[in-house]
Amino acid sequence: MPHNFWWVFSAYSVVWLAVILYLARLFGRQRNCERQVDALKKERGSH
Amino acid sequence: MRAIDRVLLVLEAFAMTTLCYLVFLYIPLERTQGYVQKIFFIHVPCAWVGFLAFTITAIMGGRYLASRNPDHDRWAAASAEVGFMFTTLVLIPGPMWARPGWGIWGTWGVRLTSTLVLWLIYLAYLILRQTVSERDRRSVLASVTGIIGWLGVPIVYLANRVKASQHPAPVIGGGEKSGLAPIFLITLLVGVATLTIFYIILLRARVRGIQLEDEIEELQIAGGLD
Repeated sequence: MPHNFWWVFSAYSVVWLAVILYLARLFGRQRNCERQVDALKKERGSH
Repeated sequence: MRAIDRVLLVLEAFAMTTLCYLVFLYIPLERTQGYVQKIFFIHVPCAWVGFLAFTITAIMGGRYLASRNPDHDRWAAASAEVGFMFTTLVLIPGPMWARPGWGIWGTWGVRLTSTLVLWLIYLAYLILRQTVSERDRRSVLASVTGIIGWLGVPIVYLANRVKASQHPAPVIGGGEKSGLAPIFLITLLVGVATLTIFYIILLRARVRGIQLEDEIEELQIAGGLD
């Protein structure tokens, strides 16, 4: 293993993980909001 | 997920793979710093995307103030949030480069200090958006903060050009002794492209999220719900 490999590997891992987790969170929240909008629209339609 | 988002995700996967191949398998070791210098190819693109994001926030903030179009405010808010995340990611790998490179986690030189101040400005921007409940007032205050806060971008960029510190001197446009070998420059550009595509994907997703949150709020008000 090259000298300082783990520093470099950790730096790249932190960036990739943070961006991918943030993206997953955004898509998850988006799905929840879409469900909520559908439910609210149905609720309004039934009144 | 829309077709364009799928295309961007495929492009992103390709760009990430190319960047990792170049950084870990292809480019030679830099003469003075050795292996740890490879952090440069992720550290600088994160800073670039932070600058880009805050510039978009300021532009969209200005457009909102001129037009009062809520879409402009949504783009400004989304870009500030994504830019804040990338600026956080500038502040994390930086010390991970400094520790093995110079034996210290960092010093409070002008570049690090100004970056931290920029980060704090956009933290305040995000807190402001969470705490002001009246929508128009919140959008106006956020737009003004986004425009004034943007002044931090050129200050951070110029910081180590004006005053030397522990932070490395600029390698692009930094004078006669600056410059990158072609393969290093190509790798840096691939890094910038990789994180810029990520920025576009995140920005689009966040804007869509804010649109949905606003729609929920409007439906709740229209339905008399709390």
